[in-house]
Amino acid sequence: MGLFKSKEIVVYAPFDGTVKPIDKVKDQTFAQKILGDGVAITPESETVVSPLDSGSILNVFHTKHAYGLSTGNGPELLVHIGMDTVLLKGEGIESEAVAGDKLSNKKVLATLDLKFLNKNAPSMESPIIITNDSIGNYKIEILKDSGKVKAGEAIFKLIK
Amino acid sequence: MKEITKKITDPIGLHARPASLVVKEANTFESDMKIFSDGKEGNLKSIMNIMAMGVKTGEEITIKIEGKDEDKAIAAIEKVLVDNNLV
Repeated sequence: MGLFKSKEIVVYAPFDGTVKPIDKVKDQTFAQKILGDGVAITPESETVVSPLDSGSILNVFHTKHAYGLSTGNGPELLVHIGMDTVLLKGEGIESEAVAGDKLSNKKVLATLDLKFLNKNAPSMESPIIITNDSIGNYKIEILKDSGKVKAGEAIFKLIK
Repeated sequence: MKEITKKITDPIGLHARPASLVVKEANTFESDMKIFSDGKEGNLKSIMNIMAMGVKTGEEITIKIEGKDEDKAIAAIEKVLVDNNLV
């Protein structure tokens, strides 16, 4: 609890998949980090677990493809499942999570129908980012942005 | 204080990508900016605030801007909304 102890928030992969740097995704809004910095994972498992081990759900977009999460320390995380999945109006994604739910590393946010989504979504690259307007004095350190990742594996952390 | 009211015409509503363009522009100004829709209120400089409002197609939004650069800010925000076919 010393004054000089730095604060750290670790963000974990919400599903198994292939990870890439956010600036390598096709969608330019995400690639240019207009929303925020982080990584993108193309899912290869169907359960979406919380990428945070504490905090709470701020919002679930009505089409179930975007989750706003609070770390509880200021920074806010956006999990955006696929690209232009908003056009599917919720089809292919089941979710029981609601705003206000507490997060743990066992909290399930959603279940994906990958067979449907891989066929119908323009892309399943899924950005997991800290929003620019919430990052404050924290710095992001990317831990994994290439190759395969397993759900629960650390992908980046925030340090201040 | 400056104020505009517009109807959202984007077919999906004010979702992540279009909202982020508005937030990016909003954060280049000093003034305080708020967005109101359907009895809800949000900070126009926060992507999460706007997404949490879940503004759908056909709903009206009111944006209120107050501060030193409010004249420039309201014009810039209106331009982003129009240029991206959000309203």
